[in-house]
Amino acid sequence: MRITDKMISDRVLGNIQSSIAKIAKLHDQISSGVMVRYPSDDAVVATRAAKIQSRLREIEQYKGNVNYAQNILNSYDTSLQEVSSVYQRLRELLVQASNGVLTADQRQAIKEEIKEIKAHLIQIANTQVGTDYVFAGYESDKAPVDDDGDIVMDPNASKPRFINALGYKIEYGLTVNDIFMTKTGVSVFKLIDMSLGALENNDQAMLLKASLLSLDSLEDSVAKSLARVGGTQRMTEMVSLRIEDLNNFMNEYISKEVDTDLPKTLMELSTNQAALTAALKTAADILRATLVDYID
Amino acid sequence: MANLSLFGSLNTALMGVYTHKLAMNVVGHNVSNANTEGYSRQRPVIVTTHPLTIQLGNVLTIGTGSMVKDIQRVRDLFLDLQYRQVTNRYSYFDSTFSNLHYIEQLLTGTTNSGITSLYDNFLSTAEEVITDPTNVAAKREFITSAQQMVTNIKDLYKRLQELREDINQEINQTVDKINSLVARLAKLNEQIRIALALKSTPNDLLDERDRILDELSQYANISHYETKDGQTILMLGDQVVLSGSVHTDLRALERPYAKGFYELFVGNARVTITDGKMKALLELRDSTVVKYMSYLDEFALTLSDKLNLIHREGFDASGKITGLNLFNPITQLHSAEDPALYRILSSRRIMNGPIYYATGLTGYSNQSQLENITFINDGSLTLFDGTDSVTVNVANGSSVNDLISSLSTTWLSLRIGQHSPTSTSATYRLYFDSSTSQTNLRNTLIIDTGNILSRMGFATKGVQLLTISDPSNVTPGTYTLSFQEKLADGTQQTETLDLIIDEPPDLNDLVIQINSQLTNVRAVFVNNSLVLIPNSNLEFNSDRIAITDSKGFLTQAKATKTTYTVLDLSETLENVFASTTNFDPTTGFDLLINNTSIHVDPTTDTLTDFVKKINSANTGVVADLTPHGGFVLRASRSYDFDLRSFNISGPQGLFEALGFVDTNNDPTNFDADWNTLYTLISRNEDFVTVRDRLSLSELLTVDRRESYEPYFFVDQWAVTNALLSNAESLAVDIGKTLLNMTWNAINFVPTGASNVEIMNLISSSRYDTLLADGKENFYEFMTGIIAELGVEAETASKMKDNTELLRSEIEQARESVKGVSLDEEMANMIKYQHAFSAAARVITAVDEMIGRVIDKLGVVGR
Repeated sequence: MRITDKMISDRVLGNIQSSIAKIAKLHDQISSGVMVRYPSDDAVVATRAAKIQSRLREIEQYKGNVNYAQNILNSYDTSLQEVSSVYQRLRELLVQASNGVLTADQRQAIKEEIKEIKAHLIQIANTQVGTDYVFAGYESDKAPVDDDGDIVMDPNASKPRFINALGYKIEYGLTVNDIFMTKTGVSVFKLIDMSLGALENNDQAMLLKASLLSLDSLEDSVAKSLARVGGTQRMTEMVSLRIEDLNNFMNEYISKEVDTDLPKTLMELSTNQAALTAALKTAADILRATLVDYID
Repeated sequence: MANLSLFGSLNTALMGVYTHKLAMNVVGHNVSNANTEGYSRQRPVIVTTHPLTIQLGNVLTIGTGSMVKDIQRVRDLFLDLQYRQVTNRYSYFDSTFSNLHYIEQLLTGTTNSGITSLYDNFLSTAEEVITDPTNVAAKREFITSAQQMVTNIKDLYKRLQELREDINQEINQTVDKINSLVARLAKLNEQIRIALALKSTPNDLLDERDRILDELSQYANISHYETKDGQTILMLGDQVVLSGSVHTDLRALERPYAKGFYELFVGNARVTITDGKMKALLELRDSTVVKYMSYLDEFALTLSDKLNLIHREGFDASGKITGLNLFNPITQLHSAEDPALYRILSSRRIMNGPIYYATGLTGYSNQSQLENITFINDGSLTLFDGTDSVTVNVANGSSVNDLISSLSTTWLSLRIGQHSPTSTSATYRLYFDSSTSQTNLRNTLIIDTGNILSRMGFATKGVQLLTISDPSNVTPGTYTLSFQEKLADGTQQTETLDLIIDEPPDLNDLVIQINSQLTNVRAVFVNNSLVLIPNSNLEFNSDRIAITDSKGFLTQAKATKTTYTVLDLSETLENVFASTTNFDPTTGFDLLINNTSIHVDPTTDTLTDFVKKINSANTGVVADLTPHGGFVLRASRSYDFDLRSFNISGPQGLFEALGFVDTNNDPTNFDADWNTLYTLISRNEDFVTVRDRLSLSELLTVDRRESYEPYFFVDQWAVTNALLSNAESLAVDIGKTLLNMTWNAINFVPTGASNVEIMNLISSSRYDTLLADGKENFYEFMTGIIAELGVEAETASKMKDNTELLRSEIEQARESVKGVSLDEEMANMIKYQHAFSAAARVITAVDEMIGRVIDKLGVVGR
C-alpha cells in the first residue's frame, strides 16, 4: 500500500488527539468524582442511579417522619407514667376514705385532693407538644377535654395520627378515648366524679364496691395504653434502624456504580500520559525526513 | 532502398525530451500541491508514439518515440462514494449527539438535580404536611415546592422550544450553504463540459467538483452520476437539484401553522432527506425534541388533573374552605370548535348509599352444593335492626338450607342465586337480601357467635360493644345513668336511664328496662349476655356516648367492652345499581371500549374493582376514582388525549347510574333502562353532539396538537393564586361523608385540622399508573424519560465514535490512492531528470551523426 506523508501526519495527529481526549476524560472523572455524569455516559447505570437517588430522597423524608413520631411517642410515655402514679395516689386516697372512722374534715381533705387529681388528669389529657394537642386525634388544635372533665373531642376526629414510612402507614397516635375511657364504657373523669359523690354522701358501701372496683378498670386502661405505646416505640426504633441500613446500603450501591474508582483511574491516567509522551516524541522523528533531504 | 532518416531519430529523441519535460512539469505540479485540500495526484500517461513500418530487407516496425497521452488524476471512485456515505452518517450522529447532550444536561443536570428531584421534593414536602399537619410552615413549604416544580419544568420546556427555534435557524442557514455549493457545481459542470468537448482532462476542475461533493455529503444524502459529456446530475434526497448547468434551489418555506418553522422544497416538490446533518436537524426539531416536550406535557396535564380532583374534595384545616384547585386547570385555549376531550368526571359521588345485598360464597356450579354446606359449630346469628333484635340459632351439623328457612321469617333473607364472573359462565352464589323488607343493612348489625358468616364466605369485622355477663355483684336499688350522645349528624342528645335492680339481678329484666327507656342505645341478648348496642344514629360507636354513672352500676356489673364478629358490608355494584330499571345482577354487564369488552360481575365487584378492570384491559382509556367516589375516564397519550377516538358503549342504566348522562332529564331518580344499549362516545360524532350528551358530566377539553408540534400544556401550568397567597387554604381533610339514600353523596362534614387524608392521597398518587397509556406511574415516568434520553444519547455518541473511526480509515485509504508522496515524487523526479538528460544526450549524439553525415559524408580525402 502506498503511504503518503499526509497519511502519516494525519495518523500521528489523530492518535495524539485521541490520546489527549482519553486523558481529558480521565481527568474529568477524577476531578468530578463520578464516572457516570450524564445518562449518555452509560444509560443503564445512570437510570439505575437516578432511581436509587429518588429512593434516597424518599427515605430521607421518612427519617424525619419517624423522628417526629418518636418525639410524640416519648411524650405519650411520660404522660402515661404520670397517669399511672396518679392512679396509685388515687387508690391510696380511696382506701383511706373507705375506712369508716374518718372525720368530716378528713373526708373533706381527701375530697379536695381527689378534685386536684381530677384537674391534674384533665391537664394531662390536654398535653400539648408545640401547639398540637397530642391526645386530640384529628382535632389537634382544640383541647379534647374541658374543665369539667367532659370529653369535647368530636367523635369523628377520634382517629389515630399516622406517619408514612417505607411505604406503609404507622399509626402512632392515641386519643383521649383510648386512654381515659375505661372498659366499662364510663370515662375516667366520670368515675372520679362518682367517687367524689360517694365521699360527699359518706356512702361507704359504694366507695368500697364501686369506686375501688373502678380503680381496677382505670389501672387496666393505663397498663394497656402503656403497652401499646411501648410496642409502637419499639416498632419505630426498628423502622429507624431499617431506614439507616437502607440509606447506607443504597449510598454504597450508588457509589460503586457511579463514583470513580480513584486508584484505578489514576493509574490509567499515568499510563495514558506515558503513552502520549512517547507518541509525541516519536511523532517528531517520523514527520521529519523524506527523500528530499537526502537528494542534493 | 528506403531507409530510416536520421532526422527521424532526432525527432524520436526530441520526443523523449518533450515527454520528460512534461513529466517533470507534472512532478512539479504534484509537489507544489502536496498539501492542497482535496488534490489528487496527477500522473503522466506516457505511451509510445505510432510506429513506422519500413522495408529494410525485412519488414521492420520502428518506434518513433514517446508522448504523454494524458495526464491522469489518480482517484478511486469507490472510495469516494464510501467516504461520502460515511461522512453523511457521521454528520447525522454528530449533530444528533451534540443536541441530545444539551437536552440531557437540561433535563437531568448532574446526578443530584434535574426533573426527578423536583418531583421527589414535591412529594417529600407533602409527607412533611402529613407528619406535622398543624405546622403552617410545612404547608407553605409544600406550596413553594409545587411552585418550584412548575417553574422549573416550565423553564426547561421553554428552553427546549428555544432549541427547536435555533435548530430551525440552522436549517435555514444550511439551506443557503447547500444552494451556494450547488450553484458552484453548476458552473463547474459548464466548464468541464467545454473542456471535455475539447478532449482535454480538466483535472483541477474535477478535483474542485469532488471537493464540493465531499462538502455536500455532510449536509444531506446525495447521489450523483456523470453523463456522457462529463456533467454531473446531482440528487439531494429524492429530488434532482442539478442537471447539467441547470440547478434548482433548495427552498425553506414556512409552515402555515407553526411559528416560522421551515419545510424543505425543491421547486414545488417536498424533498425527503434521509441522512446527514440536515436529517439530524429536521428529526430533532420535528420529532425528538417534540417527543420530550410532549412527555413534559403529559406529566403536567395528568399530574394537575389528578391532584386537582383530589384537592377539590378536601377541606382546609379550619374546615371552612373546600373546592379549591391545586393547579390552574390546563384546558383548551385555541380549538374552540373541535377540541380534544381529555377527561370526563361523573356528577355523582358514589359512596355511602343503602346496602341491601351482601355476597358470600361464589363460583359454585350447582345450587345443591351450596345448600348442603354444613356448619361445624354451634352458634347463633343475632339480627339487630336498629331497634329490636331477633336471634336465629344454628346447630352443629345443620345445613345452609336449614338456615335459609330459619331466616325466611326475618327481615333478612339468605338466598342462593346465579352470578356471572365472566361473560360466558354462570355460577351460583350465596347472598343476603334485605330488599323485600327494605332494611338498609347499614343500619343493622348481624352478630355472629359461631363462625357462621365466615363459613358461608361472608366478610366479617370486629365491633366493640359494652357487655354485661354477670350482674350478681350489683347492689339492689335504683340507679340513674345519663347518656350524653353525639349523633352522627352532629347533633347532641341526652338520654336518661332509671334502673330498678331487684334481688337477684336479672339480665332479661334489665333488657326490658333499657329498651323501654332508651332509643339510641338498645339492649340485646347475645350468648346469654346483655349487649348494649349504640344504633346507626351513633354509628355503632360507643365512644360517641359519655356515660355518667353516679352510683357505679356499670362498675359493679363488671361491664366490659367485648369484641363481636359482625357482617362487614361492601359497596358492591349490585347495591349501587339496584334502583335502575331492569337491572339484573345475575348476568353481569359489559362495558365496550372500541373492540374490547370489559365484563363486570356486580355481585362481587365494587367501583374500585371496576376501575381496575378497565385499566387492566389496556384499551387506552384510563379509569380513576376521586376521593369521594366520582368516576373519571381519561384518554391516554397514544390516542392524543382525546376520548373521542374511542367508541364507548354499554347499558344505558350504567351511565345514568354513574352520573355521566341523564337521559330523561330527571335528576331525582335514575331509572334509565339497563337493557338498552347506549353509546356514550362515538368516533364519528362532532364535538357539540358529544358535549350536549355529556352535559351532566364535567368535561376537561384540551387543544389538539399540530403535526410535528408538542401540546404546549406546560405553558398553562401554574399553582393557583389562592394557595400561593394563603398557604392555610391548603386542603388536608377528606371530611366525613354522611349516609345517603340515592348513592349520591352530597353532604360532607370536616373532621379536624389533623386529618391529612387528602395529603396522603396526594402523596400516594405517585403509584397510580395513569401515564404512558396506563402503564407507568409518575415516579416511573420521570426515570423513564431519563432512561430514554440516556439510551438515545449514548447510542448517538457511540455511533458517532464508530463512524468517525470508519471515516478516518476510509480517508486514509483514499489518501493512500490519491495523495502525493514526496518520496515518490522525488524518485520520479530523478527518473524523469535522468531520462531527460539521456534524451538530450541522444539528441547530441544524433546531432553529431547528422553532422557527420552532412559534413563528412561523401567527402573522401578532402
